[in-house]
Amino acid sequence: MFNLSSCLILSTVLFAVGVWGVIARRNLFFVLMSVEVMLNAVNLAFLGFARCWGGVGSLEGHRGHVFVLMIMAVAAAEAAVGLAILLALFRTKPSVDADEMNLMKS
Amino acid sequence: MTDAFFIILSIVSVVSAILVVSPRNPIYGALSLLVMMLSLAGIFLQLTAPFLAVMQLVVYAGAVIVLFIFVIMMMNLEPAEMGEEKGFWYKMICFFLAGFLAVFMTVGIAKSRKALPDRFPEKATAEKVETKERTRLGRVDLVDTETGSVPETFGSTPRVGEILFNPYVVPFELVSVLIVIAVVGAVVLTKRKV
Repeated sequence: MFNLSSCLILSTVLFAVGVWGVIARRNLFFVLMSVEVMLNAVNLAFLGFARCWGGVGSLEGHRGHVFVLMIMAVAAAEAAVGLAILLALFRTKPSVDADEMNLMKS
Repeated sequence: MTDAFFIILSIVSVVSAILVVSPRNPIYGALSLLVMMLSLAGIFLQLTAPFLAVMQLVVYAGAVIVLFIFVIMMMNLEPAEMGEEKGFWYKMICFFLAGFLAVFMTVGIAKSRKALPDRFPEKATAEKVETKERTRLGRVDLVDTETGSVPETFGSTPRVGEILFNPYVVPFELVSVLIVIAVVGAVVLTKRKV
């Protein structure tokens, strides 16, 4: 029951929940948090595969772990910059609604 | 036993992921995201990735979520500022789109189940295997070269550190540069113009 297929299916379901959050929510906080959900789902998929092919050679098996570490670092950087952009937007117009950010609309 | 853990943790992670994207108040979403990351750290531990489980707790649950909660509390949103949500039918259409994505990928995984291994390879323990191998750091590790089982210290911190500092040192250093760039960018973006 606990095998690669079930890990991948869990990763798929989490990713789909994240996709729903990104496209269906207007509040920009929820968009950012849904992006984090999607990144975590992808991390799970990487680690599932790394566990399966870790016996080929000890270096090749840990590639998945290194990639997950890179994803975690990039996600942290992206969360920081995304929240900074949100704060800067909030100062120009006191709203976190994605549909109200329409200053460039003709 | 491992199956029971995995089923419980996966149900917790899916339910808390749904609770991330659905509430009205973003603080509840951030707290549910914390629960989801904790449950995923448990699954990482089951997947013989102890270093990454701890990194998930330290980096994600300990830094990213704290940053989210700080910003949410600092902005102190009134309900008027949070904006209206989209209508019910829009959310239904999005639900069907995301559901179609999930079903499509799940069917793909189920159809390719023959190509995927049906059990994780086991770890080489001292009862089964005798061959030892010296890793680059000079440590001794139990390795099974006949079957596809993973070395004894798979996913441990010294092993991941070996591969991070030897073949993949360039991405490692570039990621540290990226983090510095992100910190400088965040400070510049949020500075008040005096």
